[in-house]
Amino acid sequence: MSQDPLLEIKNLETVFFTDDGVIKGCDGVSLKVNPGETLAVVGESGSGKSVTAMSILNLIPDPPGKITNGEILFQGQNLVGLGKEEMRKIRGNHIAMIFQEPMTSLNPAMTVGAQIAESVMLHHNPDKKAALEKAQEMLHLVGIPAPARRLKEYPHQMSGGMRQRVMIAIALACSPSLLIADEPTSALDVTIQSQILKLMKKLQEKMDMAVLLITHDMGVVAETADKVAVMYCGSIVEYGPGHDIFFNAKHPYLMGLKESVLSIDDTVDELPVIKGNIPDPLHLPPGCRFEPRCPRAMEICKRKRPQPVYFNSEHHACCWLHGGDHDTSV
Amino acid sequence: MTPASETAPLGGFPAPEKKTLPRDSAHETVLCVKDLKVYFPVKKGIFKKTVGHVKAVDGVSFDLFKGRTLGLVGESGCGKTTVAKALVKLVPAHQGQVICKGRDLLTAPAPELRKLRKNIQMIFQDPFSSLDPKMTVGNIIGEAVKFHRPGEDVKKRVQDCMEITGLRREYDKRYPHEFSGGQRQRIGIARALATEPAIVIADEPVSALDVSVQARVLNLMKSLQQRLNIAYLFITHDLSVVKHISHDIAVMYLGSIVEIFNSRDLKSGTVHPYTRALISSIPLAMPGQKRNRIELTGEIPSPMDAPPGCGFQTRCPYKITRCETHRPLLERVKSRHTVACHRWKEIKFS
Repeated sequence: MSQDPLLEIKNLETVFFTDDGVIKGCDGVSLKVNPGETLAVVGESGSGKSVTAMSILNLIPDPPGKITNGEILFQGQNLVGLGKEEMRKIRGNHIAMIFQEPMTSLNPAMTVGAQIAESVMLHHNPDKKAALEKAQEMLHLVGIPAPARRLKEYPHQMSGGMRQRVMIAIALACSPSLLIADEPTSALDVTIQSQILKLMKKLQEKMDMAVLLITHDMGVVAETADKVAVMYCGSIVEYGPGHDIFFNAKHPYLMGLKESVLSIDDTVDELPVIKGNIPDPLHLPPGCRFEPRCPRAMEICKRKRPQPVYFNSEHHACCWLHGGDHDTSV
Repeated sequence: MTPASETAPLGGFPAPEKKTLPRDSAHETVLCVKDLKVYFPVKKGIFKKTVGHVKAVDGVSFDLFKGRTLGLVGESGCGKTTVAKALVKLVPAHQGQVICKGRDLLTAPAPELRKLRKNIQMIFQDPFSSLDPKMTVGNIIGEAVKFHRPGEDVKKRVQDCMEITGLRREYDKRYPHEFSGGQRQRIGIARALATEPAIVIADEPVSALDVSVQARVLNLMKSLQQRLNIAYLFITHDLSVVKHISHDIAVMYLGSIVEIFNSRDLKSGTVHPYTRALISSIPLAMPGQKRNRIELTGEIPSPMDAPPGCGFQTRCPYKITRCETHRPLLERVKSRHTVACHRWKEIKFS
């Protein structure tokens, strides 16, 4: 890889101090996003996907949360410990975010035009008229009919799909080089979901933007992702190009996850399941976090946390099944 | 009261019926819904004058059979949940009949309705908000038992229900917040089973759960059905879920059912353009592969000013002028397969 990554996270640790103890939301997450590429982060609820995204934008509420270790390098600049003012210049401008709930993440008391224009005025051009023109252009770009009229409408006058388009318009108004999309289509119906995914893909190519896509839907991943990171209990357990993840999965958790995905093409009677539940984040198992649920757990898994084992330059998994140095103390 | 014998290993639950029903022909009807309509008035002005109606459910008919599942699918706003609520009278129906045990639930007087209701139970979508946080799990599950089955040992019944849904018997003193999402959904299922209903209406019971948990809850629901011979009305927006659990599938669009078919036909046997489009827009969990996608433009119209004629005409790629004026009725395609489309015979899907 000669290319410089757009975003590089190194050994990120985000912890939450609660009354019951310290919870590690992110526990040593490292990943890279290259310009123009889509990285999908998948995992179940509570696996730390959203915490990773929030950490990048410095949106972790402090207290109780805090980034205690690691670096987040965006275009070579470390975002960890950046001042409020400097962060504000990056957030919404170079890195934009789309949130999961199109119903609750828009301001109900502002017209959609004003909400799109807000970030344009803040980051680029304080002229309101020009900003509103830009907003209209953006609404047109995301495929909302009659943008001039819609500009003056409020979020409640729009349907879920429309609102998600408005969210995308807000996020893309400043032409960011990285878009973080946290479950952008989970709240939408399938026919609308396919419209939105297609739109995001089109705009990504047009604006040459990288996308960090957070999702739990393996179907969405298969359709959009260049690379995939699979998270479990705050760490990445497997990482690699989409093709390797789908056809050459190495980690038992990923295999289980893929099996339990329902498909209309299957005709199984009883679905395969991953036994047990995600462990309590306050009482994580000492060795591999997946060990209590793993069908192929071994003696060493109980004692030591596995380190990444590389299968090719990009594909790696953290699992003792694939060897690794047993003497590495963690 | 009921001595636990070898045939009924789980407390008061009846043993599965041994007699085998003839396949695909004579299933016993347990609930018959005829031309159900639910209209919500739209009121305006200081005198609250009714200016129009939201036709949330506009003429829906179907049957539920003993021990079988009817999956009801459709996009948000198509009226799925309103159908469910109308069946148990949580919203008033405007017109139609819901016949259970020979009685119309919609016109039955209150005392009789209360007795009939123990036959129909509901499982709700959100396991986090559908359980009273101030009640113990035992009280949540036992409430209906106390009402519908007076004289029964409530505690034992509750614990039997918990056991059958895979919860530990000792947990009946705990409160809902002490359980995970999947466990809470099990509590919801246990509550629904407590009165030994013939019919369970499940409104998106797995949508709020992670895939691995979802698979477990579906397996549980399926095995309970086989054991207790319950009829499910399974409401969801997820076609892969519905394929897995249902025997028959009804697709709803804008307040009406557009197609009912056997779930075996889901992949290639359906004939309504909307059903086809819906199936084609499911993302495949295989990179590089794609379904032949029928891209729908636009969104579902508002049920307040639904177009005359076919509800799907505003998005249908096969629309003709007849669709604008005449509402298609359900026609028979073959046994256990009906469709409401003027052109189903002509359209060829690639």
